[in-house]
Amino acid sequence: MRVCVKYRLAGQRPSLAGNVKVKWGKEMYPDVEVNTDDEPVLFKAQIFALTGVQPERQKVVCKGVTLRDDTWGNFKLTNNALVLVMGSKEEDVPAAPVEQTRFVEDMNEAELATAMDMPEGLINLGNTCYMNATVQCLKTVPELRNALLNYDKSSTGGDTAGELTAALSETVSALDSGGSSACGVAAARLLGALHGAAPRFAERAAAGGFAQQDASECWTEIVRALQQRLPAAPMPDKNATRASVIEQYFGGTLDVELVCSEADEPPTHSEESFLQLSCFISQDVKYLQSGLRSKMAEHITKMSQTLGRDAVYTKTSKISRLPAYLTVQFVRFYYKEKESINAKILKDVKFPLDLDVYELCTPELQERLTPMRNKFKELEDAKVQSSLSSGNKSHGDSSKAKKKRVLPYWFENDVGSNNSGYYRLQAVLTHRGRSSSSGHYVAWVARGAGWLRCDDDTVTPVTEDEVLKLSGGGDWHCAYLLLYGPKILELPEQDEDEPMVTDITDDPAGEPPTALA
Amino acid sequence: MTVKNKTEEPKKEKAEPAVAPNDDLSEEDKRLQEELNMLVDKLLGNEVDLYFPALQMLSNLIRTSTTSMTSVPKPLKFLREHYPALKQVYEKITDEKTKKFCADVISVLAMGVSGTLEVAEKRECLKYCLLGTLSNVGDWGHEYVRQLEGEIAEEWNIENMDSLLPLVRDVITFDMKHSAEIQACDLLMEIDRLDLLTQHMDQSNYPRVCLYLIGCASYVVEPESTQILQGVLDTYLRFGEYPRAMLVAMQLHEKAKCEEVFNACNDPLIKKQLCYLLARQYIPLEVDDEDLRTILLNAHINDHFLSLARELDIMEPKTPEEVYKTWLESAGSALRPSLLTEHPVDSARQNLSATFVNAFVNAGFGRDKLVTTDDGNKWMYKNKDHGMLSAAASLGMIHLWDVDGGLTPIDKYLYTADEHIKAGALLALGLVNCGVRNECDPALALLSDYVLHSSSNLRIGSVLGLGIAYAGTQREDVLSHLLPVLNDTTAPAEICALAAISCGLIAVGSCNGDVSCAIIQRLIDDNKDLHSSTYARFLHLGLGLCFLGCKERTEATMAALEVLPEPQQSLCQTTLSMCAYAGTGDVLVVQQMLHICSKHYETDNEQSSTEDTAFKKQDKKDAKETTATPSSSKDDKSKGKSSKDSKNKEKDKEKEANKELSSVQAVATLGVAVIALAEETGAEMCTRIFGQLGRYGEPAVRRAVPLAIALCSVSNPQLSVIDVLNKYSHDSDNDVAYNAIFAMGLVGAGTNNARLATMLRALALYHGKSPVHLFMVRLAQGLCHAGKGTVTLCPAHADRRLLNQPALAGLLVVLTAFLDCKTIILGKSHYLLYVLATAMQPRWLVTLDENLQPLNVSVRVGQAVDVIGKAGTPKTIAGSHTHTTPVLLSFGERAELATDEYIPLSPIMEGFVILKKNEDSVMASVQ
Repeated sequence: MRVCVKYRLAGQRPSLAGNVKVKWGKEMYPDVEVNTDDEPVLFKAQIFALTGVQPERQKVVCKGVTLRDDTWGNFKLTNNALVLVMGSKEEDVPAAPVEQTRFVEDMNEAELATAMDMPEGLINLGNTCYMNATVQCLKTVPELRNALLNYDKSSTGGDTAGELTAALSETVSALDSGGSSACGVAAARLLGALHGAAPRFAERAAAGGFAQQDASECWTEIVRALQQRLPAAPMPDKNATRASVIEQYFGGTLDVELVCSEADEPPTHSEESFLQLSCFISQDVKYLQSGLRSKMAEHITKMSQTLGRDAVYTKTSKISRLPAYLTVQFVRFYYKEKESINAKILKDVKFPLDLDVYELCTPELQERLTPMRNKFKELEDAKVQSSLSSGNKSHGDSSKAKKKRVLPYWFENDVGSNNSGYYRLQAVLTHRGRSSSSGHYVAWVARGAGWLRCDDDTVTPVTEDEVLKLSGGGDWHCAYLLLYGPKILELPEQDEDEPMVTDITDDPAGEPPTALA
Repeated sequence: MTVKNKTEEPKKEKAEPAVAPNDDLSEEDKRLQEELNMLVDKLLGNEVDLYFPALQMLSNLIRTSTTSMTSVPKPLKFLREHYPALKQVYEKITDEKTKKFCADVISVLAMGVSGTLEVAEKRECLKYCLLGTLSNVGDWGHEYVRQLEGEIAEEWNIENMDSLLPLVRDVITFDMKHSAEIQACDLLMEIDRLDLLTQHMDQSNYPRVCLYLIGCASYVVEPESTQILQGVLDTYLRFGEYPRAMLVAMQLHEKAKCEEVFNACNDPLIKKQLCYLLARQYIPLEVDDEDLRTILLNAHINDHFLSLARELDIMEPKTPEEVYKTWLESAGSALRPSLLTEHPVDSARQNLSATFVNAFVNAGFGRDKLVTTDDGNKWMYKNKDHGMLSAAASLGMIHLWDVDGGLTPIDKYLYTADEHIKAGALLALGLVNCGVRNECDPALALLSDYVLHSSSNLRIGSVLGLGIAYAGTQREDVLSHLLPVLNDTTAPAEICALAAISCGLIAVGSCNGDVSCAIIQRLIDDNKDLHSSTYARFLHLGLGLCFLGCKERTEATMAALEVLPEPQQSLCQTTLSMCAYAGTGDVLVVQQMLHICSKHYETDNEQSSTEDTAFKKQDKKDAKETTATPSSSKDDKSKGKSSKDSKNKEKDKEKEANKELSSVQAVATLGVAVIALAEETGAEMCTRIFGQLGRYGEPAVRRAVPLAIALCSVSNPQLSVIDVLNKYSHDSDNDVAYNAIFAMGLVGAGTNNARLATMLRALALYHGKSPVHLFMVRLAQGLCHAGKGTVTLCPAHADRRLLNQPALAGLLVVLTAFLDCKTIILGKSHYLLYVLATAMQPRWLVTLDENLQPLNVSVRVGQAVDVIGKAGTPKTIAGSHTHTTPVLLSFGERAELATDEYIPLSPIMEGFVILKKNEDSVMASVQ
């Protein structure tokens, strides 16, 4: 090793030509030649050759001093000294993301709500939670919402139903975009309209404020008004019988067969239409399905023509048309003569998130449902297959979601019907308390993968588990009304583009073209 | 004749009551009694010739009598009644030799009657002993010697020193030969002549003696404790116990002593072990040997830490989510972010807490899932302003101790356009070098350019970075960069405070004149806005850190501080005395602190004046009591002055003074803990004191109480402590709650304590709606899982005998910051939390072979048992489990080798221990 140390008069500092050890990260390069008579840049170039770190990105450090580019300065090197090089090969300099992060702390309340994408709630105007909850539940039906938003408010005939519809339309639009103050105003108008349409809701409580009301009655009242005022969109085929949006999307029909169990009469057939199904709660009803079933086959006493007296008839109902949105009411309240109140049955009745009403349908309808049900089954099988083959659940699902296409849920000739018998829970209206005219009503609505709890004007996110816990059996909120929406079949995108399928839009329910028109 | 008559009478009197018990005596005893009586009779008789043989017989009987532990030896019992008579016999004997012999016997008998008040008062045992032959006092047995010792200790004063000394020598000789070393130590400590002990120390007794003396040292006032330790140090050196000697030298806080020990040792392997000990205590020593220097650099920590992590299978990075365990929280809490995944909203505060949690949890592992990933810079932009600084600095925490590998990933952030991130990167560079030194000094080279930069953010990063990187190194060249910052009056208070902290950290416990002068100068010169700033407290602390553990060497500085205007003066002086007596357990200073805490200030003028006079009286009394420590009395005087001043002030000014007093009280509260912290009994007493203060103290005191409690048991989550803190964490005073929550984190720091973790999760739920509380809970959770449960923040190590000064200094900085939690930690200066890095150490035992390669051996780990002064060779640990090294040690646990194949070179099985092959191993030979 050649070391020569000479003193230059100019700099008055020893120059060195020898070897140093260069350390870069965990790498060590022994015996790097250096001559301090040369420019430091040369040394840096040497280091570049060894490490691949650009000279301008190099920080050369020895004994607490950094090497400058132009002069060695007080960077003292001795033979065999250790020199530390800092720097990375990558050229990229960490840059600020294009999108600035906004922080909760900087936002005002309105911005916060938008950021969290929390829907607006409705303020309680004094025991009006029953109305608020009802509106929140109904709002989850996209077709109804669209119809309401498109409702021509000027066309009110001046009657109470028209007023109610207009008020509801205003409320829905306020909830969508208006902010809290607009919601308050809209809710007040809606309450007024409701009182106009059904004066019994204006009943005052002893303390002077409005009394608590039954949410189910409110629901019925509102739906009835809408039924009158919201005409169905013109259908492509003219033979459609359903006049209003409500009938289109909420209305179903039952084939009723009456058989006299005491006399040999020919069974009589009739057709009934319904806007909601009722689930009666008896001793042995533990599940929603059994409650519904028991209602479908009941015994009634009726005047028999042949016998000339009251006889027991077996009434069997089968659904012949399934509406897109199935409302199920738990008959939780019964009138107690003694205390003259609507007492509540707290019994725990489990309801599913996915409901299948196939067995409640007429054989004809069942047959028509089958093709769609098979598609569901195929999809399910395919999923099982793929999960088995791939073995692991990757997070790629979200990226794949975009490539899905949605099949319509209605029969081609009957917009607003359900063509599979499969339903998905989308809103729950619950009651907490011991009688219908007291306690508190809350709406729980599905949004995307999660759920929201709309307790008047506070909206908070909740989980599915919590929604399933609303089945009753205690003093917690009990499900009172359930709103099931159609289960949407999403097929993975195939190469050929079928004309009849619509690509998924931001609206998860899929919008039938008719409702928009 | 007259003499005889007189003596006979009492004898008869006494003989009668003695008859009754005679009945239950056994044959043997009766014979003994008769014999004794006969001998006494002979002595009482006039036959001078018979005296000597009679005395000899007596002494024989006394010496040969066997006795049980609980009863008085038989001869003594029987002779008790003759005691006065024998005293008279002594008077009448004329023969010199016989007289002396008689005195010996009486002296022994005095022990038997020492129960009576009169004899005890006159210390007759000692008196007659001195009159006696003064030879072989030990022949009379241990009990006699013990009696003598007690009386010597009582009798000892300047006048009779010389006359007693020969006896003392005799006693000590006996004690040291007959395994009564502890008594010998006690006696010599009592009479302040420990030097006598030296000549009696030998291979068999010095370990016990030294252990006992070290134990005593912490309970003795200065300067005795230093003398004791010095004596122990000399003894260890004499017997070649270099590691032990080094520990004592470190306990003395004297670098020169450490050097002396180091140079005295010639065994290269033991020298290496000494280097490991020195490195743990961050004592920089100049060594020529390459290998030794490498050890002293402490750079080995990183590799060993990572191999420990691999061994424990905890290399996988942990996310803040995994620490919070939100999925365990009951459904419906707003804390569950999964509910919000659809529309993630960034809360700057929550992200900041996640930054800290991530930094603490993955500290030293070099990997995490937030900032070291490819898109790590995204996370930085998810923080706001100074939050970005902290986020970038967290890189340093994650690469802690890894100078080789850690600098490169940080480097690229030095080129970023954002000033906060750049500043954070500078701080990160400092953090990487924390506790580890490198010959190239990259931290100094890279950071020193920025200390006087025009951007105050970059100054924050570089100034604090230097402080953390060089904590405890006493490096003058680093200080020379920082002092100009301290003197820069144009700089904002924050920068000035950081410079003071950094200087304090670097020059910790060194009494560095430059630093203390600069800080005092700054305090004196400065305009009002520094004093009124909350950051002024850090200037005081910086000064204090300079004198950490220096005890009365602060006198001159204390005096210099008297030029300060009043509220600052007492504040600064209190901080200074808190630091100066840190870890000493000095009861007098604790009392002084408590006195400040117990003051209640009134808003009413009149009441306060009456209170003031009352306090002044008390002050005087206190001053009298505490004259032993000169600094304390001075402090009291100054307090008196302060109260006088405040009386003259206007009402609103008084309010201000109250505010100042409250900050003095807060510091004093912390001071109690700081002083008591290293010593177990003191720390235990503190808990009771804090209970009182927490209940009845002023708000400022109450706020400091949780911090003080935490300081007493850092990384030691005892159930009682966390329960108390948990109660405070629900306090209605938010500041108390914040501090308590953070304190819980400190108490459990690095332990993964399950109970604490559950408690904190419950707290998170309870405080879910309050973002600030939640921030604190998150910090605490991060601390609790710091280093994934492998580290400790406790400044005490080596069986709690040594205090790591930089560690304590770091803790003090953070705790001081929490005294004004709202403006400092919850404001912009949350980056101060990173100062905890100076206290962070793996809580481990790593065993190395002679080539310093890791060696896996089985060790028993169990609760440490105090064996000081225990007879025989007692077990040092209880309830042990057997593990294979490297192994984690919890607080209060001790390890010992489970095999005799190796001999540890360090007496304390903590940190790095070199093992030497045991040549005469039984286990190895069996195999």
